[in-house]
Amino acid sequence: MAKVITITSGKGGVGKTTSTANLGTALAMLGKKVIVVDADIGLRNLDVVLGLENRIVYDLVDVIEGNCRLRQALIKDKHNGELYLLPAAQTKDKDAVSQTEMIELVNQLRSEADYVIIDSPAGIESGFKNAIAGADEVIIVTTPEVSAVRDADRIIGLCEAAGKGHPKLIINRLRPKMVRSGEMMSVEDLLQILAIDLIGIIPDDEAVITATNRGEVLVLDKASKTGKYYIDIARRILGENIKIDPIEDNPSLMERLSGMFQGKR
Amino acid sequence: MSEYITIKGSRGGLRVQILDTCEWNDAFLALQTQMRDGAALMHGMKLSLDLGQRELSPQALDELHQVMRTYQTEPVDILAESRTVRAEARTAGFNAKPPMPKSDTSAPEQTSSVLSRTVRSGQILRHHGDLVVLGDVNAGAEVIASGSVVVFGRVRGVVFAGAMGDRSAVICAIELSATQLRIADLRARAPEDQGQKTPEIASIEDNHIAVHAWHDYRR
Repeated sequence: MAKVITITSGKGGVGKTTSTANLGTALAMLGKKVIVVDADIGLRNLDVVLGLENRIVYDLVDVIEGNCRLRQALIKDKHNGELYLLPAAQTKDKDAVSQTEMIELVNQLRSEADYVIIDSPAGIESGFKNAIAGADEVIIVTTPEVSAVRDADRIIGLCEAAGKGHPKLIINRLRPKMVRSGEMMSVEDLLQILAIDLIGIIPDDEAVITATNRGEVLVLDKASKTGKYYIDIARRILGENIKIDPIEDNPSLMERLSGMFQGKR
Repeated sequence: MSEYITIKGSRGGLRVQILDTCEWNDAFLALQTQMRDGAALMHGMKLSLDLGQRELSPQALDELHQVMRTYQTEPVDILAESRTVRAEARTAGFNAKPPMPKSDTSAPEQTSSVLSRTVRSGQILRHHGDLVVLGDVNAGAEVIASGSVVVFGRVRGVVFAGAMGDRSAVICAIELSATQLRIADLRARAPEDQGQKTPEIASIEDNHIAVHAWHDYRR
């Protein structure tokens, strides 16, 4: 029986889909059978990020409406035989699916894999409610911005009210340099406000954009540090006890000079 | 609060006892005033109106139902001794029950409450009486109480104490960086500069809300 994890955030554009694609791939690389589900009906993206767009024949709504069998709609990943995608419908909207239908679908998926990762749409409306309806656990993605954190806080409250317990937190797009100079909220600031457990920190990395545009995921690139951070999160999902180290980058010459003048280092 | 009505907190709601020996018009007016002044607290809480032995005409019940609908989103219970009043109340659109047994009403009322949780953005905590929150009140969250509010944590959201008009209510917090503070009929906005990181207390002084460091505060 699979464990079902929903990835959500409240605010859009903070990295839900990127995180779903990378964590799904990472779990598959670690030998688990994984199904990633795009619950963003009408605005599907996960297929693009995984580079599977041109293989879609049936989608989530087709399965729910009985136009096809579940296995017909599951698309095998290009790189990893253990990873499957259940794409969202692009020509429907969120009302095409009800919470009960979503729970039934998720329960069908449970017997097909070890992990089911659901990519939630942004917002707090029916799309979000559908995405968490069948989940055993919720992971919240946020960036160190006031607006994203405010939305994450709201979403945590809604998850708790829906009986999903305390979600886990991924802090995405952290810039250590800006944190050091006091221009960005630190990991500690975020944890103080949100008061939930951290499961990983992902640095701001331009490589995410290029990878996304190519339909590749970073965890496949062995040289990518960011990919490694995602693999660490996947290991933590599997229950391994891996310490969350602060994100380090090399301080610039200017920073080191001013540090010297202030008597640091 | 007026002499005609008494409000008590009950499990998950409020019980409004309406004196059954006075003129209905006096009681009705007092109730309307209370509903208006205490709207922030009463709106969204489950209300039961205890009419006691009072007999009420169908018209009066209709009127009462309309007033309740103006202020209230939750269904309202009518508690009445008279079976006729209960039947008429149901016709008017209320839920109707006989009043609670005497032993229940005489039980000591619990007015203060301790809650151990983070109040998050979008959540509203309502309480009749004094409230202690062991945790943070985050930005976008609201805490509303008819008595005082003590937060053993950071306040970044909105706190409303004395929500039924009690001007002696106070708001205390380990870190009081509230977006807005309200006590009874007064409001205060957070100063633009960073709030103090020391425990503070807000109370009404000379018709405005004053905030003092806890160690400077003496009654």
